[in-house]
Amino acid sequence: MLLHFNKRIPIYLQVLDWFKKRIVMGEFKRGESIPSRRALAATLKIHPNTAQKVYKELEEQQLITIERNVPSKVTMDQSVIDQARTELLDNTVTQFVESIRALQISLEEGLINFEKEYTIRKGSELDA
Amino acid sequence: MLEVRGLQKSYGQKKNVLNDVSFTVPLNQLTCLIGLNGEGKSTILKAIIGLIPVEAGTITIDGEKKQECITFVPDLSTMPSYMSVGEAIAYMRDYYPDWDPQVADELLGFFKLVPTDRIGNLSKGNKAKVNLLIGFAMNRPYLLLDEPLAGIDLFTKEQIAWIFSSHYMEGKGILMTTHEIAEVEHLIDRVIFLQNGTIIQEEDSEEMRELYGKSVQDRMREVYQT
Amino acid sequence: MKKFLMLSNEEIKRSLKLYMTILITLVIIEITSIMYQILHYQSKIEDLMQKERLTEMQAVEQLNGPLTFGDATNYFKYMITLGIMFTILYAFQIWYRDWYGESKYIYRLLMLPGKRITILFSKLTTVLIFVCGFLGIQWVIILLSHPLYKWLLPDHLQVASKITGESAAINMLYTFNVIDTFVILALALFVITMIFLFVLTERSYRKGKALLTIARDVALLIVPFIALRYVFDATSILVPNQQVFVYLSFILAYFAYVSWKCIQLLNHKVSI
Repeated sequence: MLLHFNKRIPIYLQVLDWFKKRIVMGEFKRGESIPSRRALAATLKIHPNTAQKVYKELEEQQLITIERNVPSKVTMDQSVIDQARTELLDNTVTQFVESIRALQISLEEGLINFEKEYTIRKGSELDA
Repeated sequence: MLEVRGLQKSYGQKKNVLNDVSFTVPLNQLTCLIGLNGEGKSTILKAIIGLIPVEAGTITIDGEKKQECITFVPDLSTMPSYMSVGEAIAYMRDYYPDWDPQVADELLGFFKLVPTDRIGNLSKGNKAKVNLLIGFAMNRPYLLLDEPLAGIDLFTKEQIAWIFSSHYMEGKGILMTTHEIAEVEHLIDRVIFLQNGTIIQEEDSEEMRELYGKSVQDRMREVYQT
Repeated sequence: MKKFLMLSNEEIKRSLKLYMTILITLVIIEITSIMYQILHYQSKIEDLMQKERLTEMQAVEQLNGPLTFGDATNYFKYMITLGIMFTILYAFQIWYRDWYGESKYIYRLLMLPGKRITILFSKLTTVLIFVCGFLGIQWVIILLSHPLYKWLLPDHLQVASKITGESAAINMLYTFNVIDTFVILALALFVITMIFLFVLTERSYRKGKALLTIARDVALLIVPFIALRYVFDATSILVPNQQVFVYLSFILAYFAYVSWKCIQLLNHKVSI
């Protein structure tokens, strides 16, 4: 649940990001209907016009389809979703690399720690 | 679009309390009028609605003088203390032809207000809720909110803030003054910085974030601490 | 029209309790005062008869004759004065309570759709209605007092006359003359409107300027009046009837000015 906004980054981008993540993660499944703009605004506590902006952007990126009088749906096109997934991955990787580089950590050390943390996380998820 | 042009106001010795104040309030957006204490924010709202006379200035809505398109929600009670909440609503319904009783009903329920409670006996939070209920049920496109969150407890604040994410915002242009920037920052579309009765800046908050990576509070610090 | 009726209705409702309380209190005091006057007179007669061994007729002569109705209703003038005072106070309070009350009702009034002059009319009407109320009740009391007077006081101690008051001024109330009533109401309207002007002026300007403006408006009434008086005395241009006509025209013109000023202030200058 997106409850805490970074006030230095455009709000609508953060909501867009959150929404894309949900689509990529499959919480909003391919072809399924998504919450209305109003519902989204109420849930995330944003101005309805921000929700409107996000939906418009999602439609432009072809991640959702909007039709009149019918709830909007996630696209059926898996390739679009995959593309979004790649984008998100790229962003995360870029952030990670930037952080490590800023701390002047080497590639090997970075990778070792990365793998360790990843394994731990995956393990605890399986246990849970 | 609500357009304010050249508001000018002096209080006798206190010259230029409002000095050529001009700005716009677009429909479907939340515009925040920001200024330190005593800079004239409240005066501007009251001047727009006609409670305070001004020496010069025009208020137009899409180019015409249509006062009946604006509602003012003050930070104090304007209905007589002896009236009950229900009577106050009936009063508004009788005097205002565009009053929307359904909105009034819905907000009455959502805000958990009791129609038989006397206005004089209400807590500050409930008084604020009644004011807001009246403001939205008046069904006018432009709302002027004077410190809607001032001095209110956390849970009432949440209820009031909920309105800003609700469908009641659709088709409305809102001009708000508040000191609680942190609570509503993510809801604000535009900010207008006021200092010493003059408008210093009018900015789009999302642009501010996108282009400069600054939050409204960051910008406030820049503007008011130089 | 609808706004006027609704506003007037509300103003009246707001003050009804207080008004009725004052009214009833005044009535009780007036009735009690008559009974007191009558009984007091009778006891004085008896006192005199006892102490100075006079006959009743001699005692009556000593007390300057029988008790007239005007004497019996002597205290009425105090109640009437009180009534006038309350009305004047109310004319002020009917505005100030909206500015200084627990809630700022004046905001709501000024923001109501429709013309602001309706606010003025509704408050004016309310005060006038209360004046009529006072007047009406006073008449009823006077009319009821006469049989009371006749009943309580033995015949020979009465002055069988029409209902008359103590003085000429009071008589205006006691003689139920339509024209006199009209005069009283016109006077009330004039005074109340002037009070409204003072209030609205005070609410429109800062203290210094407000005081000056009020002083100017008062001067605008008094100075021409005195000037006219002086001219008429010194030159005897016009016959008294014509003089009265001139005075009246001036008062009328002044009233028009005061009314116009009230509307102007309410529409353009008044501030919360």
